[in-house]
Amino acid sequence: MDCRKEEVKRILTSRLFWVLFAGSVAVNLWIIANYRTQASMVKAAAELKNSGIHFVTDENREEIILVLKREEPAGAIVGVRSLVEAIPMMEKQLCGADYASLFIEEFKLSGKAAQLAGNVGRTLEELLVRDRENGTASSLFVPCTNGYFELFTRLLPIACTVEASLAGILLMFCCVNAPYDNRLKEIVYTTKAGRKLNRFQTESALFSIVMFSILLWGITLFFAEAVFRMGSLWQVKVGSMMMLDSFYPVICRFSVSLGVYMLLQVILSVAVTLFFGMTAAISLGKVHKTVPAFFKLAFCCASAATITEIFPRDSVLFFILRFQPVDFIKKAGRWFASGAGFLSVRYYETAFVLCWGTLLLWLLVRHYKHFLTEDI
Amino acid sequence: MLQIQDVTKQYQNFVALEHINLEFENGIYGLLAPNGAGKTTLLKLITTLLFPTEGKILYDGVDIRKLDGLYREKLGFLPQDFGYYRDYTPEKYLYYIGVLKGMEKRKLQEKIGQMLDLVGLTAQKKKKMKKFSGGMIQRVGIAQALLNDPQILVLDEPTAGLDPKERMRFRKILTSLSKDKTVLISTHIVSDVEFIANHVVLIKDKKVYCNDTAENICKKLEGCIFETTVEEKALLEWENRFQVVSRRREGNDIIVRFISREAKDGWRPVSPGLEDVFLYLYKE
Repeated sequence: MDCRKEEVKRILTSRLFWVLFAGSVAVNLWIIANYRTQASMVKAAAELKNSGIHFVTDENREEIILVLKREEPAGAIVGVRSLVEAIPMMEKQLCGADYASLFIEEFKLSGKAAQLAGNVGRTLEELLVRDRENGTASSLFVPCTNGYFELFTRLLPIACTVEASLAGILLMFCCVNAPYDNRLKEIVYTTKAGRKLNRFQTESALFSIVMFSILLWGITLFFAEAVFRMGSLWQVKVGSMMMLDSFYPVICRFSVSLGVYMLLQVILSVAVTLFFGMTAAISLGKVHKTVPAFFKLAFCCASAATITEIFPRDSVLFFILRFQPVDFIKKAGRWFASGAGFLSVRYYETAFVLCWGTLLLWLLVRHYKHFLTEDI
Repeated sequence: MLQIQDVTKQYQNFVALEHINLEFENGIYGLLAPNGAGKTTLLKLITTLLFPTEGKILYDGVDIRKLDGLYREKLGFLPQDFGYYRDYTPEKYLYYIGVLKGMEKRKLQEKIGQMLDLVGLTAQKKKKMKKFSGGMIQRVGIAQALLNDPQILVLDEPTAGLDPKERMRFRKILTSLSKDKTVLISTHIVSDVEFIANHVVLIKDKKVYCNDTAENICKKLEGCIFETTVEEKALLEWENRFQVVSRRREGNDIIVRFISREAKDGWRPVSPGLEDVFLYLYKE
């Protein structure tokens, strides 16, 4: 029989798992509920899409405004007219190069790092132009008010990722440290499984974290769909348009529909959650106590963030290293206050996984090997 | 056969055990030593929770570190202080431990039933363990140690928290098991060892002081244990002169049991017990 199966069962039936899950779902539902007044506008936008209107142009602008205006909720911060009129203007004016300049300025990049950021911006600009020309960068997503657009591009991804990451840390702590927290270490580590149980528990916790993340995303998107009835809007080609308001610019390199875009966000979100789960397992190290391990993890994260912050700003390595899981969470916090500040090099994901994934995996294996030989 | 060969255990600057040599065959071995003498360290070394700083522990001639899971498969351990998942029932708890012990599902289900029956918890098998008394928890602990039918059974203070009836039952279980198993019991309750152990291992000053049958060990104090009646006011003086093992009141007088190398008139010689030896040996 498999010890992993038993551990997964233990985590999935634990009160902690379901308390964290219920809490996360409640927060996400609250976020969605804040946008519920725009449900009728989303429905109207879907009908426009079904009637063959895919883009906002100078010709169809008034027709769109007329349809959407009827459904406009009272007290909108930005009115339908302003928003729809702004779309063609934004299309003409906003570009990848501008975004790169903002990025260079914000992070005070210089030398090769600035040059690299400029190159990335130019590449994205070319993609944006290409997609606009071939009609895969649709400007008609949901031209609603009160930042409905950012619900899918910012708020839900951030909420799901932060919640799943925090839950991942706690679940990892509680699972791997269970023999110590419950005074069971002397019994479980003298069974046939022995200290290998530590590895089984780590793997089981990682599996449960992935389950948590996928379930959370699934339920969140299910409720979003139930409230807004997006229908055919999931098929809207958003692709490189997302560059202008996205948390994951690498996705913008592909011409994808909103549905696929969200799926890619889920995959990236799960990856980040896994990273944090692994970091939590490492931080338990010799301590075997949840609270000190939590502080150790916080200290390690703060150190990683600080080290990457003080890295020379003219280095290409800085440009790559800056994209680490801590930065991700840091950004998540900042995003509520300001806009995006994320520009990725072409092989960002590869660099991310190679640099941080290898480092974490190496630390995890080292920690496990040490555990096999230490006194209990 | 389990062999401990010249084992030393050191924690940074503190030496817990020094050059221990022991051999365990089938039968019950009682481990007696005062607190802090290294009993638990020795048990943890045998159960692979600790690794020796020097020396080796061999099972059938092979180092237990090399045997790893194969050795622990034959091991059953009841620690002195152990916990459980609070929401688990004894049935679920035993199932979980059985899985970790690598037991086959069908055999495990059967064994759980037998063990619960053995420790008298069948009626409570669906009750959450957080509602159990200390004695009931101890019985679950005993059940988990016996679950995999271990060849080597290591028990640290196994009768702690058990009432006299349960203690008697536990002793019977151990006696019936010891035919083809090595059972190691570490305890403060000398009578547990005296009644059931074939061999007694005494540890003193981090070393094995003696390893013999209880009968042979007791012979060392033959003719040194006496009983006499003293007046209550003379008791303090008596205690200063001799090592008093026990005292009991009879009317106005007190009957003391004490250790003395010399005999005197009026002192009634009595047969020494393991408790006398224990107190004599660890008088400091």
